[in-house]
Amino acid sequence: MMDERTYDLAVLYVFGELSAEEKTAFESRLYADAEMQTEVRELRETTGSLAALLPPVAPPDSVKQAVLREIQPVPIEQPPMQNAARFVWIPWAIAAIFLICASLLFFEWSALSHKMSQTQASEKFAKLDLKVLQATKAGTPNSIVLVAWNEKAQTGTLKVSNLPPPPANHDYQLWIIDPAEKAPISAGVIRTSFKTPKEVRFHPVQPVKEAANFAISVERKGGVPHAKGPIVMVGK
Amino acid sequence: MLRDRQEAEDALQETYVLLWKKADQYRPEQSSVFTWAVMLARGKAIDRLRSRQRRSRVFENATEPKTEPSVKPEITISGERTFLNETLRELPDEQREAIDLAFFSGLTHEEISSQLSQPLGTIKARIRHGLLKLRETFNQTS
Repeated sequence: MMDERTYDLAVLYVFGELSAEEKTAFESRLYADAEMQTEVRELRETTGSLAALLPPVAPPDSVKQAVLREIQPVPIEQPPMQNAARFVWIPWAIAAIFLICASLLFFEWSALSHKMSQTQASEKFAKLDLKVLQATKAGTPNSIVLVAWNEKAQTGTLKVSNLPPPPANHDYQLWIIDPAEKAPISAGVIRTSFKTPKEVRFHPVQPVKEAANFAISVERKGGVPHAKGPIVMVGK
Repeated sequence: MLRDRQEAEDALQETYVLLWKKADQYRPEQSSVFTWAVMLARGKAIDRLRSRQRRSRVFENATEPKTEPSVKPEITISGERTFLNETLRELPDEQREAIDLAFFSGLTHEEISSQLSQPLGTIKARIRHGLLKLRETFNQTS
């Protein structure tokens, strides 16, 4: 249990009221103290949960459109041997953000007096599947790829962070693991500058029933119809 | 919190974009996604509140230099808070008020102290005790 002074500091920390210097000092203590980390997390959750007590307010469509304009993903390139039909692409990822935020910010949440069942909660998120891909032993440590998958639209967006450029004459290729299929489904090669995190969109070459997981392999330039190269990133 | 629908919508828009851009910085060991989103949204709202207060100070200084600038947001608890109040009703009034001003009105502890004419230490203690009680209640209900 934190003493009163530390707890007061933790409140200021959670409320974002510490100066940069105070914040650094507090975080250095926090980093070294697992019990304090737990307490601060609980304090943060308690504070954050207060927002769930407010009545829901639906944001207007104009906000959604403004966000859509602001985050336009870069298209991902499909291997040339693939003939997947192009779906009419709605910037679903942004819409998905809206779904999440609307759920998070404006609907009753389970944490407090209004108990939302696990079933209800999962239903709210059923429209969007988010995965964090982390480096395998064959990959580069600290690489992170975020994948957002819209099952209904059969499209997705990924965001690459700390992923080095692929070896010469090779490409990174994204795969969707669908339990209904024997082999991973190609979702195209990833073409980005790799210097700064960017969002890129992708489409699988065939319909996906269930995107149970995602993986990235290193394949020859242009991509391959079936995964052959080493898997460097996989969803956790 | 902002008491201005247009400004609230702008803050919401900024929050959505920030969530997308900072998604790779989310640390599950530090908070739930919900809390992370709430705190980002609150931060955006507070940025706007403080910016508004700065503008207000500049304006008031320019027009009425002898008048002490009013940087204190209203303390009135709106009807929208009924739901919140019901949940927080078990807290003593002074604790609920301090938490309300700190979280929903975005006031610093110093501003709350000034607004309520109470020592800073008293305000800190009220918030501390209130949050500890809330945590206990939340743990029980969940």
